[in-house]
Amino acid sequence: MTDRELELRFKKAVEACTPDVLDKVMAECDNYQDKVIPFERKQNYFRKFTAIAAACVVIAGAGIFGFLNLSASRVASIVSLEVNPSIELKINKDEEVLEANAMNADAEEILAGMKLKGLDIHTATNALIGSLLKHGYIDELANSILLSVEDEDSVRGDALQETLSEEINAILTGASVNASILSQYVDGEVVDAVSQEYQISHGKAALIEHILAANSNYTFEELSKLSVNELSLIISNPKNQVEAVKATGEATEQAYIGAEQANMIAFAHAGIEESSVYDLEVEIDYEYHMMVYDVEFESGDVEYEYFINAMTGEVVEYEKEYAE
Amino acid sequence: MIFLALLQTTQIAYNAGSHLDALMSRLAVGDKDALAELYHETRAAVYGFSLSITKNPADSEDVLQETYLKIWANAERYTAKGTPMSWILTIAKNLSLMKLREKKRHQDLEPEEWDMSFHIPDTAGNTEDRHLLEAALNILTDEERHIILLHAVSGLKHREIAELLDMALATVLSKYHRALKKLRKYIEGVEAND
Repeated sequence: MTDRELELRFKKAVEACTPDVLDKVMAECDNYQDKVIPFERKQNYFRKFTAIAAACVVIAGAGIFGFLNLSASRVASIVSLEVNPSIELKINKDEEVLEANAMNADAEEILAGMKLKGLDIHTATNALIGSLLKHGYIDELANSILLSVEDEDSVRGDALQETLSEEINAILTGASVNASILSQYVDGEVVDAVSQEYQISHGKAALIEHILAANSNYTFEELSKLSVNELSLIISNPKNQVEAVKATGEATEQAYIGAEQANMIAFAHAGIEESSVYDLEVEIDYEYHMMVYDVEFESGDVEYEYFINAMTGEVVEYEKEYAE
Repeated sequence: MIFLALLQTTQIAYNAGSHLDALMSRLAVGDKDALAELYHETRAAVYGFSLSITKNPADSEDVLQETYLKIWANAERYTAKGTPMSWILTIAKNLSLMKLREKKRHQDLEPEEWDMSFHIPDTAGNTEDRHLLEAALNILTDEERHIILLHAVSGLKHREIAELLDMALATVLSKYHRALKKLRKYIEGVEAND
């Protein structure tokens, strides 16, 4: 039996054993309300039992119920997603959403009409990422997402952060979106004051603190005004490496002129041919209150450093030094 | 390396991506006939892949249903950059993993129940088909099972499987060959006994 024959036989067996649910799908698709959230109709199976169970709970006594309710309504972790819309989900120890809060106006648009309360955090995150994609907040011009988890138990928080980051990555890969996901564990108490002062989320404040620890040339104030995609690009510069933040994927530079174009502008300004250039290094960075390409190279006996406005291609600053 | 993988996969790719793409475009504008067509072309791939994750026919039947409802509701969000099959299987994978997580949370199975050997209901397929599928689910490791199902039933390329399962291409290839070897040994054993 060849590999091909073996595969065909196996395929035939799976096809023969696959149940036919088309009628059910067709009957339900018009009523499938909650577009990105699965499992809603699952409760139908249990509707009758739920009524009986609810009656039993009442009879069982308010004492036990009160205790369980207290534990289930206690916030165990806060998960925040920030693209430009900034959303905060408070969840209990069973990872069920207790509260979904819009932290800025864009987030209100995302959350409008979504019933996240009571869903598990994985389903809720799935729904939110779907909504962010649908509303065009993750696209080729800005593809970075900041995922932050606050938890009194740092081990649990780390694990949750890792799982959610993988799930978001899977959703975006499935939607054929090349996104950059930054994920971090945040101690909310440490960043609470500064986040209030600059009116930004705990997650963004913690990310900025990490960048400042790596590179003290920036100020908190200027970084607080940047988008998550811009911060993600800053982190991609080797001189700003931040170990506490895990990054997957690459932040897009498509809103900018690109490194190649920046190089050409610098060479033209310096009046030299590309063929005479050696030791070329180009990195995207934030300098002179703007996103710039930092282009360094040598030609002949001269070392050059150019800062090119990443948006407009304008030469912002340059230095020229004769090698000794 | 890439050429080698392409040579091995092009022979068995069974579903023209452009046809599924066309179905997706029709779905995006609410064409129910397109949903039925897509269902017939991909249901075995969805069910098989889900089964390889949940190892539970009832759960995978739920996943099968949920997957097409989700495809219906989210078709407009699908972008033509990836293949429709990868997108559909990512949905099936996420729903299957959610099933597993739900189970872990709501059912405290005794440890000895975890590795229960797998059984397909007698109502499905003929005896030979059922036994082959049961064998695949019982004698292959989780990864081997995912890979063989994705390749044989879904027609996914090894490279696409590597992306979907987040594995290296070389690992996918070696596990695929090991899985085929195990299945061949099983079938030859059954035939020798007949």
